[in-house]
Amino acid sequence: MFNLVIGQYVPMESRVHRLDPRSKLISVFLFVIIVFLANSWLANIVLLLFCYAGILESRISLPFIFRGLRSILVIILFTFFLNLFFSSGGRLLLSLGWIHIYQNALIQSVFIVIRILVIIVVTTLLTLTTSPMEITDGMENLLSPFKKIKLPVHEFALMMSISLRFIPTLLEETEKIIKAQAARGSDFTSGSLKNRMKAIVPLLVPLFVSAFKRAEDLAMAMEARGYHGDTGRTRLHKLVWNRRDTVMMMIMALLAAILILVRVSGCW
Amino acid sequence: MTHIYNSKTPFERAALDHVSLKISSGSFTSLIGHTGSGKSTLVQHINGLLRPSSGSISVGDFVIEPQKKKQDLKPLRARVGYVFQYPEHQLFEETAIKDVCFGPMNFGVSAAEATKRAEECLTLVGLPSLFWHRSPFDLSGGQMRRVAIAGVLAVHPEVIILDEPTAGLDPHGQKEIMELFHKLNKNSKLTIIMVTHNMGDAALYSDQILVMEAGQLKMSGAPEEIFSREQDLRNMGLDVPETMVFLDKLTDKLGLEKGRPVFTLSETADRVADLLNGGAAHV
Amino acid sequence: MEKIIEVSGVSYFYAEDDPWVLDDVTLSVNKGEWLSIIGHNGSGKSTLAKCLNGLIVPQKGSVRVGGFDTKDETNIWEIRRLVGMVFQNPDNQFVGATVRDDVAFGMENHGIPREKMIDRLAQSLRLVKMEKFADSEPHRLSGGQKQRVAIAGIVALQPLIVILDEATSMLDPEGRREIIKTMRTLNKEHGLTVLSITHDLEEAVNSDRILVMNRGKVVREGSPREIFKTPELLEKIGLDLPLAIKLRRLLNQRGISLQDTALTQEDLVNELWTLRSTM
Repeated sequence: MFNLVIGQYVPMESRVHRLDPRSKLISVFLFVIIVFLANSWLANIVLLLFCYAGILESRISLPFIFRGLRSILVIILFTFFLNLFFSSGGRLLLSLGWIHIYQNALIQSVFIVIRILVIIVVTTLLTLTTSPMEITDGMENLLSPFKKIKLPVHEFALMMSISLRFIPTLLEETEKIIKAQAARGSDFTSGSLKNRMKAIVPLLVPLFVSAFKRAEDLAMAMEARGYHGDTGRTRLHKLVWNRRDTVMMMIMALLAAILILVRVSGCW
Repeated sequence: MTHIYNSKTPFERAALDHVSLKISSGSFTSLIGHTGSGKSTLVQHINGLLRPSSGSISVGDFVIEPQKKKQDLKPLRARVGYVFQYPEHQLFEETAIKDVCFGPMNFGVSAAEATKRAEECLTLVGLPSLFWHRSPFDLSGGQMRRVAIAGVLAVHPEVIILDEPTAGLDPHGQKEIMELFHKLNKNSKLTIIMVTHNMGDAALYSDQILVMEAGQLKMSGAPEEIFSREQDLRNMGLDVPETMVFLDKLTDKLGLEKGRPVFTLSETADRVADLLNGGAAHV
Repeated sequence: MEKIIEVSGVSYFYAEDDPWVLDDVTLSVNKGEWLSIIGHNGSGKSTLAKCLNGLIVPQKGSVRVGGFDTKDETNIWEIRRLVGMVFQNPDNQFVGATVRDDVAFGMENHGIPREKMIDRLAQSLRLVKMEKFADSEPHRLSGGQKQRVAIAGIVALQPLIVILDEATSMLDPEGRREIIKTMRTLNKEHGLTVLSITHDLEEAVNSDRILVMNRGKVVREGSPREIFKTPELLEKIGLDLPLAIKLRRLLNQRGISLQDTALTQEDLVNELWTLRSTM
């Protein structure tokens, strides 16, 4: 239906797949922060190289990731040109009517694009190599200290995994209801905006009714199967922190150190 | 005459593979086959919910071809009604009667006329009038199904497609729904195309049965013709009506020849009586 | 015979002004039997099922499961482990992201240690013949396969009884056969007690005992042979009859005198065969 690579899981064997979801989550979190340290060519090249290495290690084909990036190309281009046209500083490179392009703006725009790109690639890599179940398990585990201050961490993780599980079911249902109402003469694709808004009611009401019915059924089934919250619960999935996870943390620390060094030394 | 002609339709993933068939107006056609054999895909082409990748579909003088992209399908959909599996899931209005009016009004029928039609159709499907102004969501499953069916009938289609109309109902409800469509077919000359897993219903009510497997049309013909090819059906993992299963067991045990297929209980009883008497004559 | 469930004098209503959904119901379930409960929609049979694992607690009477009373809150989780339940809609009871996760869900809830969980997971998937699908996601499975996963999830908890609450009514004939076959094996070879709430009378005639419900009451109880001896009552409350019984009556009308014992198609075939050889 949608050509989105983001959010899809590709089950495969690779060193990145085998990493503990916690170390992957921490790495992505750290990465998103340290990306903002990069304000030089050297630093940006380091970031790109890091991503490239990550993709290679994950054994996911580069074209596959590029195909996914195509869908957000518009956003990237938009940010690029917005920055290009509306920042200033440095030598004036080009002047066309009201458009003035300065050297600094050009460099900054390129950096911003690289920043967005690497953040997206790294988060995509996380979801491509980690099953939704692992991600929720990892999150729950990482956030578990917050349980002490009565934050419903377990419930939140369960909610997340159930909604992920029901996405395909609800998509199928939506398609069916669209078809059923279209067969009764409802028109979702043409006519005035007002008519289209009106046509959405016969779609949304049944969808909500069915979602509530499912929620009710599911709650009952969960209770029948002995679900009573987090207390006394054991886990099938055991998160094991291996040496490779520690190595991953070291790599992230090194990456941060390099970026800091590059930044303070002010080179390039 | 309504002719539905559907040829060379390799749909994506080849859900349908070069299917050609004709359905004459006023007939009752059943489509049988495994889950995933392409039955639903095929019937969704008939009212333009899906487009063929190649080939064409004509319903009366309306033609759907893959080349014609922007086509107003409303006139087609007014003629071909579609009762989806679990149609009660499409209900959304505040009252049952309003929900039935939704279809006709989409096709440009006036509110007064739509209400008149809705009342007729709700009576036809056997929903007592005290439920007409209640919320459809307060009705029982069986009643909701009737409202949904009335909602399709109220458009006054010439052809109606049924996708497992009795799924999930209790045996009593199943029988009533099938009798309703049988009556509509016989008395009002409504053309019916039904997708079903119930061989008994297919055998009892149809003029023509189409057998699908892996996107291809494997057999077509009158129920008697189809079910006399018992072995071919079994090879496709399909059943024959219960009455035939019983007679097979009996003729096997008595060491007699299988006769032509029979589908009703009283015919089956007659056959059993014949078998006993005929058999006795030989001894 | 060991009684694993005892229901005595149970009455239940959903809201104060509503009529009784269950009206003074008394019954028991014996260990190892296959008990079918039949009745048309709204006869109270699904409500009864929900009383048996404490999903609802009746206003009157008592339900005892393996010696525990469902009224006693402290036993409720043990009762739910002992009484597994497969519901009607295969989609709305699949909790896990994969087959493996779903089978584990119940065991996780009941705090079964991980090592045991892994063993039982493999075993129960083998029992329902779904071991090849351990990593499959629910939307890639058929309805019948999803229901078998639900059964595996229950079997893994080593319950006393499995309740099928119209568990086959949304399935195609193939899926229906798969489920019944799986349950037969579990019942015959592993001694699992089965309580099936069903419309499928061909399934009911093959059970050890049948309960007929109408308007919240148990109106008949007995072996299939006893129940179908007087088919008129079943017809009167809007139930269908198995083919053999309908046919038996028509044959009697045609002057072929048959006893009222034939229940399954095989019975009738045998009786006709005997009749013919004596003619």
